[in-house]
Amino acid sequence: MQTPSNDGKCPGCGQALAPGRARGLCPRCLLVRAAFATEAGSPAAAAPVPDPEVVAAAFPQLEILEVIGRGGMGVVYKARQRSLNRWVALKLLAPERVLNPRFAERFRREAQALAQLNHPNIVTIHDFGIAGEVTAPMPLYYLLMEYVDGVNLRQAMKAGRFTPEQALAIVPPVCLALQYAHERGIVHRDIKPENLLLDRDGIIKIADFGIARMMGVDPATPGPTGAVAPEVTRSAQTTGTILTAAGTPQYMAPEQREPGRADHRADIYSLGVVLYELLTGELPGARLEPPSHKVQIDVRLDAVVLRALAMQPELRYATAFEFRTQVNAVATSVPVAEVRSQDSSTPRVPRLIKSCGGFLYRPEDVSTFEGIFRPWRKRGQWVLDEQALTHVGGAGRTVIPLAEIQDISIGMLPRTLNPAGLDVLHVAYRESGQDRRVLVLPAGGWFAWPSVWNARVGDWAQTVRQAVAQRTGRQPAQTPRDQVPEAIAPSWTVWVLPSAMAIPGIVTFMTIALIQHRPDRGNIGLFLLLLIALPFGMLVGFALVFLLVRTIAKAGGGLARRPSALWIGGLLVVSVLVTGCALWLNWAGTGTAQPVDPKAVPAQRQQPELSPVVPGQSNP
Amino acid sequence: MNSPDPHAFVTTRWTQVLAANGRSELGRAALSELCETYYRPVLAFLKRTGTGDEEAEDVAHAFFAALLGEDGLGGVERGRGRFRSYLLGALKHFVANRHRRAGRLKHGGAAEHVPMEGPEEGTFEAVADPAAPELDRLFDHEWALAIVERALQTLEQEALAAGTAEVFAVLKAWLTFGEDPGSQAEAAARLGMNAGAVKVAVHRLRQRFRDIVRAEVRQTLPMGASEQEELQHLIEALSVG
Repeated sequence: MQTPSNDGKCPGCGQALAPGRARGLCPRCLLVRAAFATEAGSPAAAAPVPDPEVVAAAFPQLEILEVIGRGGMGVVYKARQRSLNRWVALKLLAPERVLNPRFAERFRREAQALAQLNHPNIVTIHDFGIAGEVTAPMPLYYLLMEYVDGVNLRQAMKAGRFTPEQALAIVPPVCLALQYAHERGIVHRDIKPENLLLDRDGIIKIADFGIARMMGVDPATPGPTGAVAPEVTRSAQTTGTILTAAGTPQYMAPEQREPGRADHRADIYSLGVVLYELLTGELPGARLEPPSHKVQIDVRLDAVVLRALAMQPELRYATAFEFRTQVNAVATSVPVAEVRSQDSSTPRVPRLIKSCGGFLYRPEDVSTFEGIFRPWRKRGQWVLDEQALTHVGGAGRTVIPLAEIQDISIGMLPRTLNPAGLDVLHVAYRESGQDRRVLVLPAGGWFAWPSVWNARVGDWAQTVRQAVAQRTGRQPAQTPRDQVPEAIAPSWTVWVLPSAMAIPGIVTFMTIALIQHRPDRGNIGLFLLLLIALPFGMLVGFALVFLLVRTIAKAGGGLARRPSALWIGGLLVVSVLVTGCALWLNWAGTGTAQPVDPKAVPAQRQQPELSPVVPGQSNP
Repeated sequence: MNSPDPHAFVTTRWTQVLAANGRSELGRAALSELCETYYRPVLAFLKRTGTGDEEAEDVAHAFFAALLGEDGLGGVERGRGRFRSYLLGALKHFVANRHRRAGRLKHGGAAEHVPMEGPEEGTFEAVADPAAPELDRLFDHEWALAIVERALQTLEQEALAAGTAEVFAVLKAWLTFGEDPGSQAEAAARLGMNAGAVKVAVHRLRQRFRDIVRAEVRQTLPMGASEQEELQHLIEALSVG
């Protein structure tokens, strides 16, 4: 509701309210809405364009030529600055957006910051101000900018598809300009093809830096949420965009939907969308497909683009500079002819075979406690093409050429990481004369049943083996499952991890037990006993399991066999019986009886550790 | 602004008055309707020209009676302009005549009428000269208010008829600026509607309000006159002070 301010002024436009009139609403705001406000979908959606004569009268120092762009944020004129005899772009901000009295202050502050930006790839701001008298009651907020003689990327895309090498040439200078601005604390917030201008010399320039923030249409900044108009653009220098919910914010980073969360990585996301569109001609869909699935391009670009498009800012490139480095790496390492083979029907680009999210471990990673968790934290992307198996993101970039792969086998993760008994792909290869080994964990989502997971690992093993065979003409070796060297985690993790898992269970159990049987003089001793015996029993149970498995592995006995159905069934029956006995004892007793047989609980808790152990039969 | 007004050739109420030149029944009915809406600006004008509160109402009635009477206001050129300008012109003429008559009756020449009581609190001091520019601004200010209030009234009546009076009462605040999304959610909770429905309702309300205001303004303009220009003028009138 309209908050009446103390001085009887309208919080929207600062005009004095007429008490007792117009239902207590501000009549001026009402009329302004009726006269100017336009909503998406209404016929007169674009902001009204002031008459050229009015503009000419307001800016005697300029020779106003024509409107070169208009949209929800205002209108841009091409003009000649008489004194310097140069072309300039005059941007008038949409009147309905600037009614807020606080706008003048924000406008001044932002414009001053933007005028500090001096970069060859950023459209320079020459001047800004308010030309008010002539056009009262609507003050004309204006920005006088460098005129870019050329087209914007949207127009260029419409004129013809970009080749991948052209697309890759556009991104690095934009990254440099973004990095320059980001270092000065300025975020664009509205990177999109309409705001990237290509002049006649092919130089790319970013327009409308910070305008989204200034106009308050960026949800990350509080401001007047006014009407929204679809973009109407006729020329290169456009008038910004619409980021409110009414628009279709395809270029907006996910976090920009929430106020106050977006930072410079939002620009990296938006630039990622632009690159995706340049490469594929389409916007990324709800289900993000790697660009190489849509068009024939270097598969290594997939990882570069997908990382920029990560939903979480933390998973994207940390800086625009890093983005540039990655793009440059792809752009320079592959000859242009190899990136795109238009003339030949047989592609010289490596064809993508398989790709999915996942983790990469090195055996040495799991030998330290910290290392165990590192790969899980950093999820990357596995990409298998005709030439290499590549893991991008996470803890860096690892390329395993298919020709160098010696051995592909299925083994298991260390017990401490792997209570459920998950399979993992072991890939041994030679790199600069040395034997190396990595653990490949292809992950579909964040959760998978062991059977689903293991099936996926088996699938990957087979696909990689086939790809190697096709590439080299020989089958890679395959170590039997029970001879795959298991990575051994440091011994004390054997204690720490199960303890961490067991303690919450114990605490919950004890709490429930205490609530049910309030301790008094009669049974306090019993509770103390329980308090000590129960955790002890559970820990011992866990430790026994882990030590057993570890000892077997160390002794070279391979891995424990996957238990048969009889084993699991028998264990289930036993634990149910034991639990039943314990409960019966508890209820049948007169309160001094033992509430629970301490052994019953470890038995139950051990069950998930034991049941899924090792598929002995799944070796092909 | 410059674009041709799509409604320019719709017959407006004021066009009817002009066409009938005050003689036909239709023209008189249209004028009467217009005068009803713009009673308040006339009253405010009269009060400022030194007519006492109670007397002002009588004078206003006399003014409208003369305006709507058989021979209208002899001597006032109806011209081809806006109803607002016409009414103001007629009013000034009427007040000047009245002052002259009052002066003659008192045999004191053209002495200006000075109210016995002091000016009301919160108003400008009484201005006797009906040609003063402040009075024009006051009249336009009241005129703009009248248009807004009439549009709000129409909206309210429509809401009452549709049984959504409560929705209107809560959502009318979004017809102005200065809203924030949080409070819209609050309104949704108050009305027991979901946020999307409130958004749609606000959008429709704004649309309807805009249509009504524009239609109302159009009624006072001769054919071909710019609606947007008139709206801008009224916004300016409300910006004073």
